[in-house]
Amino acid sequence: MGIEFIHRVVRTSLVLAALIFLFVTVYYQFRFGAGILAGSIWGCLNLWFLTQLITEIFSPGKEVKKGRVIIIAVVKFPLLYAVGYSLLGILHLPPVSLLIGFTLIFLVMFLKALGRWILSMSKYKNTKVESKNK
Amino acid sequence: MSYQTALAIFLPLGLAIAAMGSAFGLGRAVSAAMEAMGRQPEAAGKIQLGMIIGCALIEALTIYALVTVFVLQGKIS
Repeated sequence: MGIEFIHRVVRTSLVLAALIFLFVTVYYQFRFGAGILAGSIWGCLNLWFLTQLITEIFSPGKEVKKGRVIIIAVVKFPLLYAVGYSLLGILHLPPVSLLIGFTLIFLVMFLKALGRWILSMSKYKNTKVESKNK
Repeated sequence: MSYQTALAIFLPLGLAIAAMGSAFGLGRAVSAAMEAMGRQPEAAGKIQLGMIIGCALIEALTIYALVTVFVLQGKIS
């Protein structure tokens, strides 16, 4: 399990957010659905930039590209947070929906980790049974 | 002390405490990860993954505090 875990989490979260957006828009309210989608996209972008920043700076044996680090840092800290502020303060999306969207990525992460854990448990059990049979 | 006064005093204080806690947490997480990577460079991928998830969770808590402050800020006036 490496960095590709994060990429898979981001992809799954975006698909899940799009589905939730459709459901919430149809059955409840467009603004609430849009808030969930926007919160989820914001969270995914935040996680993606964090991943890029950490892998760029903290990879042993890899030369740090200062220009790339500066660009990622500038986009992640002031720009992304300004976008978040505009979602809250200018577009007036419901804060609860934004928080639900933002939390979705952690829910996906938790469920993926839980799935891996359960799969590894059953795999362990199978190997034990096989070794007993031998 | 009225409700609005209490909010005006404790909202920035609460946000500052959340930011300080987050900063300490991030500092500890990154320093521990750097130390672990220095000891075992071959496990850098796994350590990085743990560090990214930890940093994201710590950052998320601060963002929750920030959004809560934004929501409650409207109730001050």
